[in-house]
Amino acid sequence: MNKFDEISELLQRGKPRDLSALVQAELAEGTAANDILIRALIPGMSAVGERFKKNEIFVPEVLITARAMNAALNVLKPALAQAGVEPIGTALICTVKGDLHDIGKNLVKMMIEGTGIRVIDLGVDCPPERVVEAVKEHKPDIVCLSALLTTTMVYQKETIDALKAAGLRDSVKVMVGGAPVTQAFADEIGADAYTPDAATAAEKARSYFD
Amino acid sequence: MTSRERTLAVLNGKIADRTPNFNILMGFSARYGGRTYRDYASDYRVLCDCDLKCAEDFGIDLLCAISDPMREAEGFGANVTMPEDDVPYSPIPLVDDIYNVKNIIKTYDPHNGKRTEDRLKAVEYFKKNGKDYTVGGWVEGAFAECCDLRGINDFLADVACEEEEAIHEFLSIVNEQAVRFAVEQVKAGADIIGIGDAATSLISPDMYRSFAFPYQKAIVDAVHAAGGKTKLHICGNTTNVLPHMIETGTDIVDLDWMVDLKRAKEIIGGRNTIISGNYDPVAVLLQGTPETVREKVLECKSIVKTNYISSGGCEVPRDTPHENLRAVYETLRTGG
Repeated sequence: MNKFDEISELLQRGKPRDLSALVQAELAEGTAANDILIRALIPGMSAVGERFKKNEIFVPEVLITARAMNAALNVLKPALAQAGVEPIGTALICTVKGDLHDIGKNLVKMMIEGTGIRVIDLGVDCPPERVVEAVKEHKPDIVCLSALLTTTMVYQKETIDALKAAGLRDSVKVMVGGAPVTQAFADEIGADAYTPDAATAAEKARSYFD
Repeated sequence: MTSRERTLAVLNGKIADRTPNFNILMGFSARYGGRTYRDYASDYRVLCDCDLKCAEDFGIDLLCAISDPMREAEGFGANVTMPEDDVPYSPIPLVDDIYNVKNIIKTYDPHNGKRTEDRLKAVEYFKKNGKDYTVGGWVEGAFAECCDLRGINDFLADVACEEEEAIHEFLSIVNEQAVRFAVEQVKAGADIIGIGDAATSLISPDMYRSFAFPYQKAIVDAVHAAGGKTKLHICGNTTNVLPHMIETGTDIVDLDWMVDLKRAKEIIGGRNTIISGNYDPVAVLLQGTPETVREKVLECKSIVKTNYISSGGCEVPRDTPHENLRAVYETLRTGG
């Protein structure tokens, strides 16, 4: 097994400590940080996404992979910055006002990060005005809005409306998701995309940069 | 037939005058009764009066003492926030170490568990004031309760990578409490105990078999021994784990809208497990019209045919138009 496959394997098995150590060792041996990202971690996350979509693995396995990815990225980030490697784009993510359920948001965040996009996480219970401020500050390419409850999905619409009112709507792609959300609802509120699961969300986000 | 007679007929494999309506109310009921959710979730008289009014106005056949998943967690000592008009939640999970569970949580008498006691009183109140209805109690399944106590992100990661013995120790303590609480609710007058085990639709069938099935079955067995019936409710797409759900011996499987009813019916085969479900609460009840409600209610009913109870896949959304929920009853009354 070559070193990139080995890294990918540890990632897919959700082993943060072993993975971080191996990434660190590879960097010390002179392997380019960007190669580790593009040839090992991104394909690893993509494989996890595929297996999730095919019902071969489930949320717990994706969660531990996501944690391992996070650990690997923390090791990699300084080296990437030093090498002048820029993320392909920026996404902003949050659960909307009133919604404290973040498991879906966290999965989407990690899967999107796994495609090489920088993700700014605004956390949970994020009112429209905070999203507007964050868009002004970070100038993301994509805004991802998560809602698990029927009582909070209306804030996906209010957030999109707030972006419109601030003149920012056309500067970003808005993606929506969460258990009660449907394509019809996404169309109705003027979102650019609805995706039913984290892997599809990551694919969709990545497609905006192709 | 009264609601009670109708439901008991279906539960006992007899002919009912129409299909029972088991829609889960909660947020809708509090709003309809003009009360805040905090009042609804913390005072059984508010919950019961709101639900009794809804049952009468919308033809619901089951009075169910359910409001939120945090009652048992609170009894274990979790710090629970009660927003004025939203669902209670625990901002900081009680169990911060999966290897130290037995020092953090202990089983307790549900009569002394703050809102677990309130639920027992709700069951008694329903039994006394809703004599024509079936009375439902509710417990969190062990897996869901562990998610409530530990935080769902952490508990799901725990089951994927921590020691199995530690997971089972946690589940066992929590399930002992669930069994105790369920049996007390039967004693208080509940005909049916709902077992809500939400997060178990997110795990593999193998994990379900190991970490969910034995505990759910223990609750089902205890409720049956106490003379009650059970309804196993799991949010999300449970198609993969449905064979295990059925094998728990639960009287009713309550299926969310993502489950294909035809497939569910095939999986049940010759067994007499009752299906409850499963029109889309959002697309049909919240966003649909009385016509689409009628169409979907009849569609679900025509797929399952026998051993069937009508319900949305999950809770009736709070802001559901009244005419849509009324259309469920009208459809069942005239065409059921």
